[in-house]
Amino acid sequence: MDKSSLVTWRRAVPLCVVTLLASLSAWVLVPSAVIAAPARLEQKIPAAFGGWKVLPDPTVQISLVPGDDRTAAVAATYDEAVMRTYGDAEGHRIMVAFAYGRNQRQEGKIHRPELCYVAQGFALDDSHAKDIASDLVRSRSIAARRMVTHSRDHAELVSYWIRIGDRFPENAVESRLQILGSGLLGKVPDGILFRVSQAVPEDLPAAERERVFDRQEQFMVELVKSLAASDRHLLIGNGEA
Amino acid sequence: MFSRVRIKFTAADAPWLALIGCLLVLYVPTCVSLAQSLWLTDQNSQGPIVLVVAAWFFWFKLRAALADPAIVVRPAPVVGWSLIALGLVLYVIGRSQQFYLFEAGSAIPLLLGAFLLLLGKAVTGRIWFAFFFLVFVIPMPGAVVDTLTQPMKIAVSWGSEGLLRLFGFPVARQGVIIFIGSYQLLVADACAGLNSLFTLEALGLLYMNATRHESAFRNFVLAALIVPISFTANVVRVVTLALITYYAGDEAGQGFLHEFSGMVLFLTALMLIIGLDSLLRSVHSYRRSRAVTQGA
Repeated sequence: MDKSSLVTWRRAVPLCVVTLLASLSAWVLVPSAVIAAPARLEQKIPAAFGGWKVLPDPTVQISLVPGDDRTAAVAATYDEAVMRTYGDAEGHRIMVAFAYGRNQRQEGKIHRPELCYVAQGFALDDSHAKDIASDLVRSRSIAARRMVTHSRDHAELVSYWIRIGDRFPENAVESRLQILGSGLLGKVPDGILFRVSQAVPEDLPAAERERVFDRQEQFMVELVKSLAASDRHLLIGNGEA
Repeated sequence: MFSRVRIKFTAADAPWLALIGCLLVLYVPTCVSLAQSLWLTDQNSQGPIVLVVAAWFFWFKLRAALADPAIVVRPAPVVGWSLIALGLVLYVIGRSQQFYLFEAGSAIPLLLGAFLLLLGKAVTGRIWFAFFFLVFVIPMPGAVVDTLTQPMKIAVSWGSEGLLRLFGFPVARQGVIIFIGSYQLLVADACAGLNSLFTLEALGLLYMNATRHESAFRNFVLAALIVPISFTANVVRVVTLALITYYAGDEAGQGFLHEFSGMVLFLTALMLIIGLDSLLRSVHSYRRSRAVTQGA
């Protein structure tokens, strides 16, 4: 077959033109990453509030990164990470972890605890959504999640929410869609993981479990309220749709 | 498979070259971005190899298709342009938003559309396998890979624990963590070998397509065998590393031998596939020759 008759300039030129246009558009549509001021969570999250106080001997927590080959890449996307253990007068201990990233991208976004716990050897017994309705956020409730996990030694109950921009995506697909949508409008959103966990006995009855979760939810809301009003957006966004 | 290639460019080749140039303008930046990120991870390190093989395979198949006098070139502009439009939209979104699945994935509809537009359905149909093979080049999102890897990881962990227990070692397992003696090993992505399973499957299929077995049954058997071969190779690897750790400590298990063992087992598995195929071929031709002599 004679090649010269197959592709002529008449056929090739439109194709070349649209291709080059696409290349140019891709370059133009890159969203601008905001060089925002550092969040400085360590200073802004109070050491004591509403009956809870930071304990000087923190429990070792599950890492905020997947703990495998991707660890370095993921850790590089977290600008700030804070881990503390709070205790109250009744002897309860709550482990708190924050992971904040100023620029959330498709390949560099906050990782879900479901992933990190499982990657580090925990078994995920249950994970379900639990909306937190409170006066904190104006027009919507906070879409948080509750996880029940266990390892060889103990069980852990985890409550968390992930904020990206002004919304709370409930799974990895929603996170991606939100970052995509925001990016096509020219903005790169920031994001934070607010994770709270407690070690519990493995045979804890379901009713007790609910009480522990409710206490964790109360703790999280109180912690947000304990921040200065101008700092709360770090944890709950700006409340717009 | 390889014939002498005369490199002689005439004016008629210029449009071809312009198109290839535009393709490079789109995807060389993509490759550079991937090389700086995903291709460095264990999960996707097979990327560059599979890409080179895919590119060669396209060229190889296309030349064969064009040389075939039975194939008619009839451009399909409507389908062609629709796919090209889809591909370019995916590319623009993918590239600007750093979404590799779209950015690299756009190559499939784009190339498909271009081929249909310029060369028509007959030629494109003949080289369908090259397009299918491109799927192996595209980096999947982490969540997807995790879902695909998890069963294999658990299976490899289970197999390794069983084998070690069979030989009387003090071993226990929790999910994908193996406890042996006083050590514990986490069967991670690289160990579960989705990377090597994927690449192995891809190269196995390519090998079969290029050598063109007459029997569809043999092709199917070979493709299916790649999964248990990979499983076996990975169990052997995990067991070996567990024993090294048990006898020589953590550092020995995580050091140089860790990387080296992966490569060795991947190559062993590849040899097994080719060996198995030769075996199947010789059995087939032996039976054929016996049928001929009996018939005559």
